[in-house]
Amino acid sequence: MMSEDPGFEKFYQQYAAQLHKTAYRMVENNADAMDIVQEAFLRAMKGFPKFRNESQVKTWLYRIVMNLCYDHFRKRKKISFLPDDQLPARQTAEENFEEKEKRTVRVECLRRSLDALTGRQRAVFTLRIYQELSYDEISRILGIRIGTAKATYFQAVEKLKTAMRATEAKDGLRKNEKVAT
Amino acid sequence: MKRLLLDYLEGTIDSDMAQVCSQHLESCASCRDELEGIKAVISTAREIPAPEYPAEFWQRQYQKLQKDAHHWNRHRRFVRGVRFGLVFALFISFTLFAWRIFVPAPTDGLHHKAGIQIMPITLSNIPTERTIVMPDEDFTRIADFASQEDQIRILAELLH
Repeated sequence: MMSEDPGFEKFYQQYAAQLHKTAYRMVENNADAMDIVQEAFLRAMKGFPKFRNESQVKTWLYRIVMNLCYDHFRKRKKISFLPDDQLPARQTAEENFEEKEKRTVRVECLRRSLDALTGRQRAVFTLRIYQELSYDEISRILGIRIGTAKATYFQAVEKLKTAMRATEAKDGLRKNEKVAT
Repeated sequence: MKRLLLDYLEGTIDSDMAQVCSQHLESCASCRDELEGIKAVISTAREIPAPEYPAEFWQRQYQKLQKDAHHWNRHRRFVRGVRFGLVFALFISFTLFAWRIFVPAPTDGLHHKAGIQIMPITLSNIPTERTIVMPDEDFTRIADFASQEDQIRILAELLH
């Protein structure tokens, strides 16, 4: 059976955790991320014997994971730009907003802002920031040009920066209002 | 300039350009602010936690994957079998149909001797019963009342 290929097992042990983190950064749900990783490896089993180059397999696995993440988004119809006040509030952030340190609030704010990115922007951002892949690798995984990958990354960073600043400004206003009352 | 700042931060521009950027940043508060904003996004993003699992967990997951693959293979084999069966049944049906339509009915010496022709079956001429053309007008209606065996017997007697 294909799954008994020791080379495949080695790849699984090597990349499963990494791919799970990538999927988790994309879909923000542990169970969904786990399903995506298992499904990706299941699909990968069939074509695995064709690949003997490690970087080829890695790129290919990432591509499968990204496509499954896109499918996941499509199912949830999650990718849509929402104005900041319409973004779903996260319980922990709302509950302990005042108690949390500024850093934690910024993390939460960025998390929310990530939802406003398009699928491709989020994919490029995730692969660049968390997996520290080169633009060349990203372009091969997503099937886009290197220039497009760079531009998409820049757009994502700009969008996140603007969203974070807007939230910070709002936060500042709220604090000022509280002080005034 | 914004785009250049990102490249500057990532160190993907050549040293001369990096120096120009550094000099510019010293004098431009707006670009410094921009750079700080980018840095804040990247550093904050890296702080977002992701679940970590030990190697044993992934070992168990691999075993689960093997089981899933086994089920998946069985399912695939079943689907392939059903598909093959359907194609085979279709092929057999088509062959029989084609045989019925295109292959003419066999003739034997007796019919030839009696001057009987069994008309070939074509697409435009599918008979509900065998059509026999008799040589003599007197015997044209024989097919209406006699069975095939009787017809042959009668014709054999006539020829004899």
